[in-house]
Amino acid sequence: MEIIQVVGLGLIATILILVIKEQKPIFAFLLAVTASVMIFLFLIGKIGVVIRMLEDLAESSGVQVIYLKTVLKIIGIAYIAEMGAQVVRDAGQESIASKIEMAGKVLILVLAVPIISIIIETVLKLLPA
Amino acid sequence: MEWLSGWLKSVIMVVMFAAFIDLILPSKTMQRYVRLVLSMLIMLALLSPIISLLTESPEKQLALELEQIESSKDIPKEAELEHILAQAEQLKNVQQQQSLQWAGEEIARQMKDQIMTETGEAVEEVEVVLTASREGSANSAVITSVEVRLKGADHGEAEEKIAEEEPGGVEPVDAVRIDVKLDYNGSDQHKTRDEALEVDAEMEARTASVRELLQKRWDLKTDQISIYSSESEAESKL
Repeated sequence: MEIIQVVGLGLIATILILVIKEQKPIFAFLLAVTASVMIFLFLIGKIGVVIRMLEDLAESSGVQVIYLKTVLKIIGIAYIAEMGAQVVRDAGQESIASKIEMAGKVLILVLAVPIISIIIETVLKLLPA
Repeated sequence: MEWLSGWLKSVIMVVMFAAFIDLILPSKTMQRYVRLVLSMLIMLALLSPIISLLTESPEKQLALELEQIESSKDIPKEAELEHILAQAEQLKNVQQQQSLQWAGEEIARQMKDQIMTETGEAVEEVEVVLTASREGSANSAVITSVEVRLKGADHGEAEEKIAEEEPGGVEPVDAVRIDVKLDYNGSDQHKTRDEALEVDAEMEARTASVRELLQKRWDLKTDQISIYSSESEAESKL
């Protein structure tokens, strides 16, 4: 039944924002930020459950935890960058939003650097000198 | 065959993770980048037997490299949260001490004025010690002790007294004179003792009035107030 709470919160926030937007756009923006942060905080606990389950699964099946760690880092960066960019975009700052997205992309690619280097090293060793 | 099952397991798990991540990815803008990294990861998992044949096992290398990335952007020690919090606590304490001290001085000044106007006593110095009533809150302080140092009555009277007491006061210093003035030394001492008793009684009356005033005005207990008179330099607590 938590989905009803989340949707209810979103609907109330939306109606309030529509009401207030004409008079005070800045308060409408603050309301939007607050609502999104509240929903995000509400979800953090649930995400924690899923992640703990994945970790347990990985440990019990004997898979190296480093794979999971990398994957979780990717998803974390993607989510945080996305949220920040959307909040900024709501305020009408398209250029800053695109910069935040770019930062997220670059940081995700940085995570790929060690993987790429390991693969390339192996390939170079496979080739006859 | 054990390595085969381990390898299969890890490949399956990594592919599962990748599918999962692909599902809960927030938007399309990140999708291409995330997919690239995830496919690299799957490739690494697939190649891991070959890699571990040629060099170290890929998992260890990856962990090492990731650790290096994280430690390279290591924040300096001054920027750590605990350090900052400790500094803030220290600053707060200093500030509280300062404000208490300042408030004590202010109260002391007011007390001095009050004593001077209401009892007519000449006050040399008032010292007030304040402490915060609750730990870590500067906005509720209590007076723990008050020290009042009274001047010796009126100016002329004080001079007179000093003149009278002079033999008794100087005598211990001037060792030679003890022998010479032995005769009326005794009577003199007697006289000074009487004098001192008189002064004591007088002082007691004076301090009582001051004490009463302070108790009434500042809501203090008797043992919090200590009154000295500056003429009896031994700081006899009355």
